[in-house]
Amino acid sequence: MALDQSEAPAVRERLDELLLRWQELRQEGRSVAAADLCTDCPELETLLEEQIKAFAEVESILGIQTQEADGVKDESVINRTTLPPEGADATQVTGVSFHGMPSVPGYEIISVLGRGGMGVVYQARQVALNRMVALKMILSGGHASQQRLQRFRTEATAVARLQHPSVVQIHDIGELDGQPYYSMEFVAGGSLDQQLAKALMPPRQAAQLLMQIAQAMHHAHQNGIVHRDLKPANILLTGSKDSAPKIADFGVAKLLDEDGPSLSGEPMGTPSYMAPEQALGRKQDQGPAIDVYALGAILYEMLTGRPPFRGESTLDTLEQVCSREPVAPSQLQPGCPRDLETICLKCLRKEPGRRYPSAQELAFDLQRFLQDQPIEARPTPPWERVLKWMKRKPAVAVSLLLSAAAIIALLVVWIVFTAQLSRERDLARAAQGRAESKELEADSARKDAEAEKSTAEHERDLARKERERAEAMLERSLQLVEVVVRQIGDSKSRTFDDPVPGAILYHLAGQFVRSAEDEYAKAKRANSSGSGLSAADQLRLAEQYALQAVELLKRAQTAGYFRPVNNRRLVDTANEFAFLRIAHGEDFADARSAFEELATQVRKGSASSQ
Amino acid sequence: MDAVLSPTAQLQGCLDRLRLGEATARDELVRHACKTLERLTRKLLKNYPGVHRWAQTDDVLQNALIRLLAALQDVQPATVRDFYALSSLQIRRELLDLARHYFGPRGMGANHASRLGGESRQDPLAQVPERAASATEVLWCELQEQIGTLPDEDREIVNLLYYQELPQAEAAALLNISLRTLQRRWQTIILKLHRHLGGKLPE
Repeated sequence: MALDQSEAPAVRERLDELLLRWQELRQEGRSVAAADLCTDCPELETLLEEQIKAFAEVESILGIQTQEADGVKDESVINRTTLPPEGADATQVTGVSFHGMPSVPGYEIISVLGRGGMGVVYQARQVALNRMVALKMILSGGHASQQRLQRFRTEATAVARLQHPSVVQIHDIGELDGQPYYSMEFVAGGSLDQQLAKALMPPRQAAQLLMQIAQAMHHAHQNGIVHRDLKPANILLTGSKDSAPKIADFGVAKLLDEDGPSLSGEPMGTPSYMAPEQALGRKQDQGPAIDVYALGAILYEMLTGRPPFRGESTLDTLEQVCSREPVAPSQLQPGCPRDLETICLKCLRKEPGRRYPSAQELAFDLQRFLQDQPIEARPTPPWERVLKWMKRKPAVAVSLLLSAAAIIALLVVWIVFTAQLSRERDLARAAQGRAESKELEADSARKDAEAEKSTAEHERDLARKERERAEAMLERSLQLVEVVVRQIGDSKSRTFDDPVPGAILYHLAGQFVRSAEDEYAKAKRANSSGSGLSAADQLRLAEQYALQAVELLKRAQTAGYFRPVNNRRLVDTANEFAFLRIAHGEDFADARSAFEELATQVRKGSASSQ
Repeated sequence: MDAVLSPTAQLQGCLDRLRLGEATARDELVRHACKTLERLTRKLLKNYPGVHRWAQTDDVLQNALIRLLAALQDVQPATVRDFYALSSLQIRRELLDLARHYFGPRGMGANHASRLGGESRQDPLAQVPERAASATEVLWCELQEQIGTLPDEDREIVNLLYYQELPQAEAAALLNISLRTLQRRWQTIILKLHRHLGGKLPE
């Protein structure tokens, strides 16, 4: 059975409706009891009674008058308010009008042993057999409804079915003034809850005791009876050395083989020991499994000293039963054996199908534990505990899941972002490397350019110096030529045939031709290296040398000195020179015509000399 | 026509006239509150004979009416609900003062010689009702104080149903809610008050 957490609020809502109905009926002046309103949901009867009582008490204190008919009050309130204190007069309980204990034929009433939801139990002596018995009589006597009387009789009949050493045995059933009673085995050792109030039970002793109770309950189940109110207070102890248990109080038991209402309209169990399906009032689920649950709750209390669930109010306890998981016994009592804890928690599973299938199976597992054999129950796996926790606290679980999802999403985003960032950083680093490399290259190129520039400047400087030197040399050469020419001119008048002046002029012209050739060669080198300005300068020098050489040759020729071979060389040189100047786009027509004329003269001179 | 008007309608008429400055309207309002307070006081004195021996209904009434008149001079409630709230407050204060005066541990009732000893001490049966009444009286006082601490919505329902003793149907109509809603809220309030008194209820 899957339990829905919303059913606990549903119980509250149902209770609210019942109380509302009670108000309405009271407004109409009708007497109503909680039992009458809870015919469909007997498990709520106790809670409703408590609320009606609370309602009546507050109204009573405030002095609020209801429209309820005079003298007619809620039966449940009467039941509560007329209960005498422990050991007081029981007249109101049985409806018998006498002071002291009731008088039951054949029995001598000794004392009140206790009271349940439906009856009061006396310690009595069965006179005929001179034995001690427990005598149970119905509560509230004359006020008891026929339905209650029938239930009381049926309870006695049901318990009489059970013949088991661990079930309290019924001796006799009778009636007194129309009120039923029955006598049963008197158990002198008190109840288990009294025992537990003194001290915790050692685990092995607890297992032994519960095994006997489980076997007895299996017997009851085999006979079609579900107890529905198993709790330490309903387990009596014989008080002997072995302290054997006796199950008592079948007042709220259910006969599985009969239709109709349960054996009692009284509260269906005790909240702290009530199975979830019992707390939710699921009649169809109220089988032996709820007794198995209660057995687990009893074991839990024997091991830890407290029931698995105990709230501030009945409703609070019921809500805990339906929605919370019990604290592991070992957390409350560290010495609790793990196997016994596992057995206990298996009984306390919320889903009946996950408990032991029968009380007998529970008894077998307890026996295995006692014999130090492996038990069949397995601890709840961690994943199931997580699932249960999620079902109990869906809001928190959803929040945690969302948070986890958000964290994972953030992690993924962070990882992706980091990877992307890293990739971009690598790219940037590579780009930076490339930029630096280019910068280095540029720097290198700049340095090369600067070096080239420096070299060029140096070369230009050298060229300038060379030109200056050459110009100076030319200047000196020209001055020397002027001197030589003047001297030749002076000597010409002496003898024209003297070949010396012509040879000197010719020699000088040869010097000028060589100088022109040198400058020309420099101009060619400067031209090939791209230094146009330098080449032009060189050419100008070469031109001047060449013109001067031509002039000297003219004069040498005039002086009668003529060497055809050398003239040929000069003509070639002049031609090359002229072509070169033309290649530079300059008009040297005069020089060219001068050379052509010279070449003509040379050719003429050569021809005449030949 | 007035005879067929509901008490609520009559009160609303008085309040309207009071706003217009009609002096007699205030007297009518006080008379209305007087009736309510008289009922409550008689009930209190009847339920708690320990007080009855010290105070008469008329004494209690007079004090409460003086309080109410003073309050009406300061505040002019616009609606019947406002008037009920105002008069209920005065009534609760008067009843509480009364109860504290006679019920409290230092009150006259608790410390009178008849409770401390003397002849009555010789008769145990004679003491039982006195003790029981005392416990209930204390609870009654606590309830009155708890009512004062309720949320406004809850206290208004208590005012109407308890102090003003309106029928549930009339109170529901005045609050403009269904009868079932009123009853549901009333039972919630009662159970809440009971929880406040947890463990103090008389056996």
